[in-house]
Amino acid sequence: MEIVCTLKPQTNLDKIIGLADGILCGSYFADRHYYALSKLKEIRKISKEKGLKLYILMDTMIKEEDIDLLYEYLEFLNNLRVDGIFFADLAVLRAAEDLHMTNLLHYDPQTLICNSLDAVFFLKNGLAGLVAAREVTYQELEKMLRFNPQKLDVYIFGHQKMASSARYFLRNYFKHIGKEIDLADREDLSIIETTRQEAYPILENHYGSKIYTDYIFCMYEEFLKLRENINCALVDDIFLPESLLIHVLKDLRNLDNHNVQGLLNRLKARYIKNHFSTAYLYAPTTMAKKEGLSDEQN
Amino acid sequence: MNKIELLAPAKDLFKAKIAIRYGADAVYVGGKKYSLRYRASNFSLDDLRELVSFAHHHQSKVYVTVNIVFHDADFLGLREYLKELDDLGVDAIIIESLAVLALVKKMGLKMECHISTQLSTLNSLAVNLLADWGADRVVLARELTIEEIEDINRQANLPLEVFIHGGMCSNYSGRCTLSNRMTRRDANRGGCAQSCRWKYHIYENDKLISDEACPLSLSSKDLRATSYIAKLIKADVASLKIEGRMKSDYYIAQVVKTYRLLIDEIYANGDIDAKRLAYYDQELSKAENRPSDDGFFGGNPDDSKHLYGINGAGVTHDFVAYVLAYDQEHKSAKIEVRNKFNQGDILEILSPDKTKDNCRFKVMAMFNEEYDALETANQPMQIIFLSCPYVLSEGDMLRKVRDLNAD
Repeated sequence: MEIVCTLKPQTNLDKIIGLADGILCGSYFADRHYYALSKLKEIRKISKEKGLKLYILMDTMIKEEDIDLLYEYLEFLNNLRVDGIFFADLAVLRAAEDLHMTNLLHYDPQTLICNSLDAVFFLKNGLAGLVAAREVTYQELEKMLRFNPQKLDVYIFGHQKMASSARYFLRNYFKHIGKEIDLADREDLSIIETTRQEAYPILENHYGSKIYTDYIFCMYEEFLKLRENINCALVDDIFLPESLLIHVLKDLRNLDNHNVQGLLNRLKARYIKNHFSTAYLYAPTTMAKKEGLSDEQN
Repeated sequence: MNKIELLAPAKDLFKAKIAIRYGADAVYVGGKKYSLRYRASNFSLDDLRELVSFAHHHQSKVYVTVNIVFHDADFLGLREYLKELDDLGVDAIIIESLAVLALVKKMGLKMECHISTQLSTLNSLAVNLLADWGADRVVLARELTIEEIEDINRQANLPLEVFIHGGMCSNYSGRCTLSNRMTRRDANRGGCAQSCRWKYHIYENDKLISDEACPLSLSSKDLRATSYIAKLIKADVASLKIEGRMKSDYYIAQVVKTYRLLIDEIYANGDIDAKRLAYYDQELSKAENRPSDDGFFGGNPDDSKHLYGINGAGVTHDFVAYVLAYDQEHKSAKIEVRNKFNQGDILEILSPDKTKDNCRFKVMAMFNEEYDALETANQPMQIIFLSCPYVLSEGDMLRKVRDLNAD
């Protein structure tokens, strides 16, 4: 099991050394955490020296016109000898097959890997890993991991992506109301449904709009129980201050059965303004409206 | 080059038959399990058996959605269900799970596997990978321009299906869990609460920066691709898909018929001019309950293609009755009332028979089953008799013209 964290370009890499086993950085086909190719080369060099693995984030959908660029970029990554690529679009798998680099791939279709058999299907195709969907219960996740030991990657900490759109929700809206707002690389914007209180962070860029959960998904206790069967345990730093990222990475390094509750309590006390949640692990979703659910607008 | 397929949705047997009668080459429906429209009536195996028989008799096909995002427990009984669908003669299933694809192929079933738009396929590399894995067709994501669809189809090793009409997910289909978070209803297992249609305020940290009187909505206008049908035909796309398994029988009839006539006219004449396109758009507007536009066909949607204010379209026609029978001697129709209308109202005919297209008549005499004269028909399901100068057929629909200036 490796602990891998996404890494914003402005985060001090030195602080990650010794805490994470790998970092996940974006460039082309990444809708955030963008690094120039020259910077990726530099990071590759440093990370190798420090014994840190370099994973690449390719979480956008891919258009037909970008296929040539996709091949070119994958070849660049292969030559850079990156340790892995987390991708969202099956075009990457097809192109990687042609380039004989399937063994670097980790498929993360965000919502789709909710069962053991789909995981088996992809792993049979030679992938290095597969990211479990966030919308599963603890029992389901535990079973999926048991079924595919040390092959599934699991997001264990961070805001979870709730929606990906090719549409420019914010740009279009502000144009509609005649207001000029600079939207480039903004991590301080959120949306709140008019009858609710939860603030959902929203990102918008060239690739469209992404909406994230109000809460920070956090599974310390579960991670402790499941970690032997996890391939990459992923920590997402999107919308998190550097201090919180470092805090969590340190906790994950030190977690054991005796201190887990204490570390969790200390985390919540220190970051009291944040909302930490185990999301769907113990709160399964339903297929229809049921009594007692918060659903004013059905 | 095969003639392009017109594929229509239906939430129950009655509506599926209407779709076929009004010109659909194929219908897609949900079974009692594994369907993404939990609130649709959905089909029992007996319903499916009857539908397959009816559809094949009319040279149409039946596709069944098995397109939920599967959790482990959902696989229980799946093998038997797939075998039953295959035995019934279902032509294809629409799936998201590639484990299901592998299972169907391993079982040696005859029915095709069409890859759902839930997989968000936007390029030919993904299409061809799915082909290698045994898929028989791919439903493309809606987030594509006409040029991109043409390019993909040139490189693709599989028949492609393209959405041309109906509601649009504002996010990539299958990759949205707003409903899960906000209502705990699983968007990818049939429970979508359409949270994208709700209103939101935008904050910069804690400061409100949206207009309180006009909040953000993620909601998009519906799709209406009439002006791209000729290009899709020329591109040799396999199937044109109408969205709307929750829609009414009247909506299905109007939309299917309009696209049927549009497609046939393009095949007959090689193309379609602006005047005729305007006519077909006008026809579709008679069933619209939300404003529509061309979605991504012309490029990434700008603000004009979003719904920020009132979501409803200006309704020009109300569906008021089904025709049960027609007495030619007395020029009298036996009808079943669905919505209110009055003596003096102008009614318009909607029929699979295009010779009766949009024929209008004024409601003069009408009687109930006891032959009492009526001034108003206002009881749903009431049987009444109505004089009508046009020869009607069982299954024809009557709609009240709200705006007499409307075509």
